[in-house]
Amino acid sequence: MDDLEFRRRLYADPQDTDTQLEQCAAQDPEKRALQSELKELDKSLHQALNIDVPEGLSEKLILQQSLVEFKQRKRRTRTHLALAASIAFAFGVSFTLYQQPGPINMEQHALAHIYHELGSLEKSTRDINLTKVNTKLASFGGQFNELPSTVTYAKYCDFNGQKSMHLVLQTDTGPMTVFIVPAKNQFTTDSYFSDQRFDGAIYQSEKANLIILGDKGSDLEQQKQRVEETLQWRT
Amino acid sequence: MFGKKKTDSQVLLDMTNKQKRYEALVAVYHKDLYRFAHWLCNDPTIAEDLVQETFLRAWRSLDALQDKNAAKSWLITILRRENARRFERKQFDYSDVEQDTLIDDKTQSLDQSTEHSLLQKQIMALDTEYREPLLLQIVMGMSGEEIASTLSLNKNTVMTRLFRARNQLKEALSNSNNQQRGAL
Repeated sequence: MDDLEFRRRLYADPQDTDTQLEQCAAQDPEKRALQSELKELDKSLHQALNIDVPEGLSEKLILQQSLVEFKQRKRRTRTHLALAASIAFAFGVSFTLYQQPGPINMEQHALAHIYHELGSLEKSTRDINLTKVNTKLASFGGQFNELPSTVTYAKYCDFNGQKSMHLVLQTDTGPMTVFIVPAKNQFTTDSYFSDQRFDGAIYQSEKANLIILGDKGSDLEQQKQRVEETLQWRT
Repeated sequence: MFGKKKTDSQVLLDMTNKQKRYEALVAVYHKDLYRFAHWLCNDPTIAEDLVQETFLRAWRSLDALQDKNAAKSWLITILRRENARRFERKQFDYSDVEQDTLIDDKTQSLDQSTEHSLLQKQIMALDTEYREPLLLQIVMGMSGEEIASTLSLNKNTVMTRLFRARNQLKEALSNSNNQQRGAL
């Protein structure tokens, strides 16, 4: 190894422990001096370059990363939430649309309705006269010649999605509820139903369905006849 | 969509692993990387920004790092790219040596610290093409081959530059020593 090559290699990397290089240095004191001089230079270079790192830099690096991660995850959950919300919304909308035409379970609806408005059955001194009842019935195209018995409650009600007349009659056997639902051919046959408290019946007629509910044991049939006798439909 | 529970825990496990890998990477390399950045751009604030940006990018593509031996040069590559981007963004008003910012608060004898700041000054006076391989060698402890592949140069060029860097430093130091002696 010639002198120049030795110098080149030593300057390029004083820490080089190549045997050739070491041998070369061992043979010549001048070269050995140069080698240690350069090693010394490297040492001070190392020290000079070894500046302090800002305090808490590693914590900062980890924190910044977790913040980014958190933001990403938040964005992700937000899309999940949006997805869930739109699915729930779609469900809600289709459910309501599905509910609209409802010839299902008239009996249950009638019972639910009456329990919901139990107050309507309470004995009241209110006496609704024939004119008032007929005014309300007029929109369905019907009218009473005379009231079948005292009427204490007369209101338009939503009967399973259909506008209907909700009457409460005071009879000998207690209050009876009558729903007059304009017929849309949704009931095929007369039917009877009951629960622990009420008996009920659905009667089919040409113009309307009559749904009559009374306390257990009351004579629904008789009441139905009274209503049918007095109720007339415009043709 | 329905098998989600299982994949979720898998994802969580992967994420914890990734987190651990990242933290290890920070612990091992952040100091050297900061020092390298500092001597590359001679500004503590920019150096810190560079290191932060580097680790952020490293986190994003951590899955790409398969070989742990490649981590060092991988990080250096990211940092150098970030540094280059800094110059694309704006032309930096580059004053050669800004010694005011270099405060050495290590408790050392006066002689030693003067020698250090003198050396630091001389290092910053080196051209980037000489300074960079020298920093990689001394600060990052890279071999000639590693430096060559990191800087996309051939090894002989790297060795020549290292030679010239040390040569210039040595000359500059002996000059200033002579001057000092002359002043005395």
